[in-house]
Amino acid sequence: MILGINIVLALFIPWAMGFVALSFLFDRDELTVAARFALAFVVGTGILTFFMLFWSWAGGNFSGIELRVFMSGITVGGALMALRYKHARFKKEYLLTRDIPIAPGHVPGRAEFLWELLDILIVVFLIFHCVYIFWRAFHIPVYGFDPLKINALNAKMFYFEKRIVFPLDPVYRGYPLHVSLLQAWMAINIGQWNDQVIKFFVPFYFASYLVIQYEFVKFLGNARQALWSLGLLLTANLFALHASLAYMDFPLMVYTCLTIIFLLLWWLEQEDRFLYLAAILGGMGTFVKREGLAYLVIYGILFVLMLIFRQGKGKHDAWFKTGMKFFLPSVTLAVIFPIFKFTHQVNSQGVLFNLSWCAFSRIPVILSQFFLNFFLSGNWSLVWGLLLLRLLFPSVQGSHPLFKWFITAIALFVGLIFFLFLLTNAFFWIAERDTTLSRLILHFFPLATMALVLRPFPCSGRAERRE
Amino acid sequence: MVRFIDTFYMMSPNYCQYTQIKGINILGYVYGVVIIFSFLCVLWKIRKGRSPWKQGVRILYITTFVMVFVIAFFQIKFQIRQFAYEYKYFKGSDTTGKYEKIYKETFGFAKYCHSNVSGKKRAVMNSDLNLEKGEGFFRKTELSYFLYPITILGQYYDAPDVIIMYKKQNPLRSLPSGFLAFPPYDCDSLIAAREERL
Repeated sequence: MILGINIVLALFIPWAMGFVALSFLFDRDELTVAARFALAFVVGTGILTFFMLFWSWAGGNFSGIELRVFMSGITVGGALMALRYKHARFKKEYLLTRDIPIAPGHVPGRAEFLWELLDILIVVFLIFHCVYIFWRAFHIPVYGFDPLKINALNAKMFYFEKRIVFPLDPVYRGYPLHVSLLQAWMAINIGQWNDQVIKFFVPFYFASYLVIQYEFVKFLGNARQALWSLGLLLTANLFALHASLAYMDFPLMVYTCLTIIFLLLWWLEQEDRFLYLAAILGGMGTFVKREGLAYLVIYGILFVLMLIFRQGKGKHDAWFKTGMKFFLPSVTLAVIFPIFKFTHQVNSQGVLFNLSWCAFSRIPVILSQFFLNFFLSGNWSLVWGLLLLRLLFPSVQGSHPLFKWFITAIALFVGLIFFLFLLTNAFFWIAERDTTLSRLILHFFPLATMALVLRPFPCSGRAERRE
Repeated sequence: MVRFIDTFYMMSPNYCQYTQIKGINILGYVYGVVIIFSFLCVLWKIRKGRSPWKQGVRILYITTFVMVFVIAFFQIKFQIRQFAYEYKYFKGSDTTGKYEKIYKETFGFAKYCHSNVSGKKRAVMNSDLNLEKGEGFFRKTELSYFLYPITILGQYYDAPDVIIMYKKQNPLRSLPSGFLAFPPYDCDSLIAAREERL
């Protein structure tokens, strides 16, 4: 009973932190309840681990009561501030909740009945996966090489040492600590080391992500498109498997895709709060896995492209100001952990560049591995094949305004991974051992499912003016 | 059919692989069906005098989506079996019991070590396995997690508190003086502690 209460409390505190943080950006009725809950969890866990880092940096002790009081104090303080200042900086005349009818102006016919039948099948498919993923996440303790060696061992050390200590193994010393700190947080709250309970937060990332993607696609299109995008997401075996494991890849995927989603919302709505949120989520991603730092470059390129081609065509002299709104928060968050490592004199082994002409001999190997993984592996079902079809044979009706940005983002991710394997010692991991590529693709895979379901829809993808 | 579903795909956190039929990946057959079916439909449409391009693309899309549903159907059947298997496999076990099933090689040994030596200890691990690569590396990784707060990852060769002999032939013979061995875990694995620190 007490264990159960402690687990709920361990999950509730970051959730509350996220709620408070979001209340600075969004009014109470601007997001649906589900979207607010989901986003609060993702933002809250990111804030929690950064505060744990600061707490340890300041010499704080990871004992249960002290840390809980500190986190609760921050949350209450933030809540009071939110009530006092009420995010006056942001315009509030738009609502982000809409409900466009699936077949506007049509009388449901036989075809509609068939569509509804397919919708029901997808709902059953989703329910089964949710049950399976939650069961696996709650019942099977941490296992696998990376989760044991990098995350859980770190977390165990933090829990027993009551502060952040770095592992002695030089290969794994510099790894970002988000997942390890979350696991340590769970153990601190329950007051014991439990290999099963420490990964309880994982399926909540899964549920949160499903809700946010559903709400986002529904906002751009309709509920059916949103449902189908989730169906496509869960046909991917690797996505479903990682949703129940304690690897760093799933949380990084959540932060990566949410950063892109909020950048797209900013491009569409031209509201600064989306830019701030994208910057914060992108910065938080750097604390999840080392790749997060490289992805910051992708967000940066995508943001600059969006700035150039943005709707409304803002004045060029405002570019610097707008750029600062994105780069300042994201880079600030991204440099915190490197500074922490520097002050603790932690050297880690990173990737080594090999800039010789010989590197080009790697191209056939890389391309064949890419082809096998994208189109012939059991990871992604036929999602990448469908996207290729969509690109080769574009719809005559045109495409959704965001489609090109989804494709640009995916191309940037694929390009980054390609050059990573081409020009660094990471080539070993694609040529000798096939352990990395699938997990790298997972980080941006959901973008493909969203791009696939988007259709040109005349009244979609715009926030509605308040009545 | 049952065998086909049982081997539908191999689950691994690094790579999921569909099964093969006569040496060809299932997706090879799927792409084949999609292309041939779409091609036949287009031929049929041409005979009826309709525009082959627009119809062909549409049929290609629809066939691919149908194949997504077919794959999802087999996938879910496989996952239900997997779910039932995992449920039965772990039923009635607590975390310790589950780990004993997942990590048969190392978890039991780590439990034995903890039952003899408690608290934070600096340890040296000796083994006939190569601890730097292959199986030995994986066993060492698992043990480093299960044994903690007994630390085996540091370079404590000069002053270890305990010595861990894992998969080492005649472990007692390799034990340096000043260490007292606990009753062994099996014929080639044991833990020994420095006498004055016991």
